[in-house]
Amino acid sequence: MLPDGYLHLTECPELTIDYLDGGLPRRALRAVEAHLETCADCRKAVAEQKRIATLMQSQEQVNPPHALKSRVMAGLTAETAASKERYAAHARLWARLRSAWKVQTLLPAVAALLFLSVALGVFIQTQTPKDSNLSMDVSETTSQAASAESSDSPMSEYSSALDERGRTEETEGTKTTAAVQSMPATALMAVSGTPTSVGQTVYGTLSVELPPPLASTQWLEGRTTYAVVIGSSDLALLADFLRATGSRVTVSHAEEGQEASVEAIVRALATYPRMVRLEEGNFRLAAQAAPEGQQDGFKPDQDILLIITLTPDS
Amino acid sequence: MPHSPNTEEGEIRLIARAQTGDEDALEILYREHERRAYNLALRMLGDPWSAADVAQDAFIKAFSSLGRFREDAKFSTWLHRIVVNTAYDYLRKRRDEPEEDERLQHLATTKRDSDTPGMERGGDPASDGLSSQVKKALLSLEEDFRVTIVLCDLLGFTYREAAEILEVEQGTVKSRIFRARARLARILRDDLGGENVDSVGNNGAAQAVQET
Repeated sequence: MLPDGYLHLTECPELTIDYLDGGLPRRALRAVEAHLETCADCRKAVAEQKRIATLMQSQEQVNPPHALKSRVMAGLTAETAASKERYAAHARLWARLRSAWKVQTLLPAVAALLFLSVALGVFIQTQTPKDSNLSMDVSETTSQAASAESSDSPMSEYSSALDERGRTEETEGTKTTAAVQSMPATALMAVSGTPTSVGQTVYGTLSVELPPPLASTQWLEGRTTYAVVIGSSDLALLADFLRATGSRVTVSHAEEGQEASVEAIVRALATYPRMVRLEEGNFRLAAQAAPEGQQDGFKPDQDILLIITLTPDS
Repeated sequence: MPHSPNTEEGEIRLIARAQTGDEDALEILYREHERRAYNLALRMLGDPWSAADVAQDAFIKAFSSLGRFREDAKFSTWLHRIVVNTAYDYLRKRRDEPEEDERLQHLATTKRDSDTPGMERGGDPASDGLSSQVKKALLSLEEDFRVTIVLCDLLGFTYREAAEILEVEQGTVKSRIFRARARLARILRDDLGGENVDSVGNNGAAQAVQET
């Protein structure tokens, strides 16, 4: 018998195709054959299917034009050159950002994240105060950070680093320098959610509006959100840190609550060492420190690991 | 380094090399896939000039974003998805700019070998391997049906591969194949001036179509 409710084989295209391909289990095959014996219409349709399949499958493929290969290779060379230039421009910017944000010692990456979040947040708070929710969240995080960082004040170090950058780079007057200098002023950060449990955990959405030179470059066109890792050996660092400390980093889609595994993130980042497009919308970055005593294996190479969501000008 | 493209491991190694910009690896990858990729574009678009443009764009897109290719996918699936998407874009553009289409059609019917370097092989570029009836019938199918039957019946992709390329369920692929074949049968029958295709054998059908 055909599946319930069906009078003809042709009403079940999938079944017909599986039958034609010899992919039916014995029982289903017997049912189809039994139906075909009694139904001339379906026999005709099956024969038609076979005939057209044979006709199509017997059509020969043609050779692509000779010139296609050289056109592809030439186009690829041009495209590579263009993207190298784009990449170099961004590499220069990231290098500057990195040295501006470099710290000598890095405790768990969590601390770095907290430190950066707080530093940026407080900076923005003082520059362009936002709504009261933001202020409250930021200060809540600040107290956590203060307990996590025992020695120097992260805030002052960060500020002086920025000041120094501003001074030393002022004379260069390049577009990139301008971008670096204007970045903190245009950066916006919002911390949402609240730290949970006793461990140092921060949920935050970092959103940085790009200054014009970056926002107008081609790689951002038509795209809205990137996560960027700043650091020379960022991926290895992330992976090592996660392994050594047993920490957990999840990036989740803030709106849909989808979580990506560490492996998925690392894999995604690995395909694009410096930047990776995640998805549109905001992402929540959560880092959770391992229990004490498991953090010894972590040897950062003085780079700050930071994942930010970049929102170019629309 | 010995190259064994037919094994999964060989492919992974080859792509790893290509990802570093190794031109030999890129060329091997190109040669392995050019024929099917070009024929896919050709059967979707119908003329060799558009097909060459689309195939060229798709290869450049694929090769310049090899960094985004992940090993858990098959390169062939990934590449052909790019070809399909590029072809869809091309067709959409053609619909949006009909004047452009007319111009291209004009070029397609008037341009000859001397105008297009590299097109000379195979003589008349308009003779592209399909009889005019089969070609016309294929091009009259809806794009979704056309691309599916081209992938499976003309280019020999499995239903599973086609499903991955098109990012649809296998059931959708099978159902499209079934309906596409039924439509082709009707179109070809009409085209043969009411001759009963059922009475013609498999080879006979092809023959009859070519002779008409």
